[in-house]
Amino acid sequence: MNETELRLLRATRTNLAFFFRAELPSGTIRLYAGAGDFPLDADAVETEGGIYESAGRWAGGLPDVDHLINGQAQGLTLQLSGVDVETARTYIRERSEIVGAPGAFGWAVLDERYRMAGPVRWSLRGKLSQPRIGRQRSGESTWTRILSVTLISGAYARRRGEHAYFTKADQRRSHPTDAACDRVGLYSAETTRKWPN
Amino acid sequence: MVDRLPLDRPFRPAKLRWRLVDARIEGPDSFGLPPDMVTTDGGGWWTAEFGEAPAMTPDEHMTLRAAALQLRGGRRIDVPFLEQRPTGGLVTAAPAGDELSFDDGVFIAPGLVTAEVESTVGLRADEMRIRVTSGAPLIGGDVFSLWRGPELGSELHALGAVTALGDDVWAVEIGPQMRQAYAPGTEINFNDPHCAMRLVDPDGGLWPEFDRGWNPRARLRFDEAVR
Repeated sequence: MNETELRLLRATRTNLAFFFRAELPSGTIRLYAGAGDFPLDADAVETEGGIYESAGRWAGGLPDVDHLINGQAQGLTLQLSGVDVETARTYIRERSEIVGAPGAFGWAVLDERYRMAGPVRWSLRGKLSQPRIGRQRSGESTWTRILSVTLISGAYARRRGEHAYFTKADQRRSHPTDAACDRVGLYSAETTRKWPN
Repeated sequence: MVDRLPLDRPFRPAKLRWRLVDARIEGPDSFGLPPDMVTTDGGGWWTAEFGEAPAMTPDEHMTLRAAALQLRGGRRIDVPFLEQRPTGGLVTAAPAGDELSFDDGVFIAPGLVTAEVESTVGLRADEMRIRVTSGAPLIGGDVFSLWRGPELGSELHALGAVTALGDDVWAVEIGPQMRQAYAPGTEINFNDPHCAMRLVDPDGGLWPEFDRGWNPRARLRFDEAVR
């Protein structure tokens, strides 16, 4: 983070911008959660640069985005409400190409005049899954149509090895004289290992 | 094709409120300090509230009903800003004082302004240069609109700081941000600014309770249709 961004984030009033990008086979979707379209320059994730289209307003709280390390996974569900029937139909018709498409969620700090104060931080990158359409009752006779998609990132593969300890045999195979794992056999499966062990 | 309000017959709202609003997330109060606030919309959008429109006579009922039926599906409509530049009603300028206004602040010269974009304005720009080809000088608080075409209608902006650069060119700060880019020479509408909006009618303000003994009023609220 540069000095300007830190100063802006420390202030009691902060302006943020949120971006969503999905690479579908039929084209890239670029969405910006705010009023008006938002042009972005090319960077590591947004390789071409492009105009992020206004996709309504951010009303709820900010999403928790974890910093993922060591085989963790996170799913972030993004919702777009107040969608017309036609968009909803297209969305469901093309759901097969949504699943598995690479997606990214990023944010940036804006200055007092709503200009970019630093680069976009693509804090969540992964694949899209679970395209869904829902309806929410918002008034006596009003229903709001909601599109949602989950962006999963980190170690999201469904097949994962069982937990296993590095055994004496494993260790001796690569380091024949090393006795570091010799006592692993004494652990029982229910024991939680304390760190450092 | 974006039509203009009024669609059929005019409403006569007694109250009119234009506002530039933000999407906000507010934090908790802490010991009398202002709460932390995050805005997430990059500059806000317009809302217009037409309040206290009489809904007494059958004609007024029909006007409202016609509007309600045409706008309820989320139709995009160009809503007039309705506040005229103060013109003083004079057609020709008369020399007096600073040659701009009478001492009560009413402008001597007619408020009609013909203006165009001087140099290219980018998407999301918040300042621009305007060439005024005829009419009164620009003043902070002036409101103008730009035509985005028959599909999208108009976009509305207000002037913040205004600096005269000479040769009829003005450097202005505007809000909200430009919704699209414009080439030099694009006409700027200061005289009858409009904004493409959609009706927001959560509590059915357009369908007031009609009652002979009282004085029913209708309320309309519009939100800017940025796309």
